[in-house]
Amino acid sequence: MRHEEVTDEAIVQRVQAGDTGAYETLIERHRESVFRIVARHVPRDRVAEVAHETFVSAYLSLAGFQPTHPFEHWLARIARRCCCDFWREREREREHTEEPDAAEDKRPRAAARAIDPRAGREAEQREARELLEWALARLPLDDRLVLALVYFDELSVKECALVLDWGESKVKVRALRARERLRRLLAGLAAEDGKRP
Amino acid sequence: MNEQSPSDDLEARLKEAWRQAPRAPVPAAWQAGVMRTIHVRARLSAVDPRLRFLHRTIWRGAAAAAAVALFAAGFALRGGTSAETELLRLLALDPQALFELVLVF
Repeated sequence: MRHEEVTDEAIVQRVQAGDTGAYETLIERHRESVFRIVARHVPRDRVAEVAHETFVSAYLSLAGFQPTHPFEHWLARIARRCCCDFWREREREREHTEEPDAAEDKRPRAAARAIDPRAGREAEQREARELLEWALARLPLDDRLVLALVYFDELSVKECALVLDWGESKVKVRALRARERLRRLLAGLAAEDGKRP
Repeated sequence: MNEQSPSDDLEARLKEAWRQAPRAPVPAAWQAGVMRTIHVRARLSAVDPRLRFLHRTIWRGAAAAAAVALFAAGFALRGGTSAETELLRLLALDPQALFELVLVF
């Protein structure tokens, strides 16, 4: 029987019954989508590590998987949770070492006005990405997480609450506040650029 | 009027940048590495029940010993002079003996 003919749910059952090797099929099927999710949330050089953590964490949580929901959605939730854990861990390390994050202080090379639509598409995307990283690094951790999930990943409030393990009202309030902060940050940057000769 | 402010425009660009995040390739030996970890965790979880039992027993024993020691210390401080009080006082002064006694029971 070819792998494609076996459903994810059937493979999960096999793994739960002790066939650990069958888990490799799940990795093969979903690694690309996990890498895609993780690459949006964490620095490029840490993607493989967080994706690794995602699959190990999913394996250890298989008992909690409900076959009534697609495996892919469940795995995506775990991937996002691992990304949040990555930032929480980084925050703890930063508090411990008291060293400022380099990205936090460095003004983006291409700030507001410098994102020139006439520049090449690739350069424009790179500059926008730099600005995005700069802005997210300047937000408090919870704001960063909720903003990434609700505003950028466009998750529902309910799904975001499950990822962050928060109540839905907390997600709503924090998402609103985080977006306000981001807008203020961007407005400040745009104004600052406007003053430059 | 539906004109976008500079920060609205920036926000839209950031959203686009998020969506267009560059793809991270899966490293060659990555999957094998994940499977190695999975096999190790599977082996560990096979011995888990025994380890968990041992862990629980030790903690419960230590908690019971601490409770008895506190009780004994309180009793002894009240100035009791009977043989039981003396025994409790001695046990309170020797936590290891107390712990062994709890484990026997």
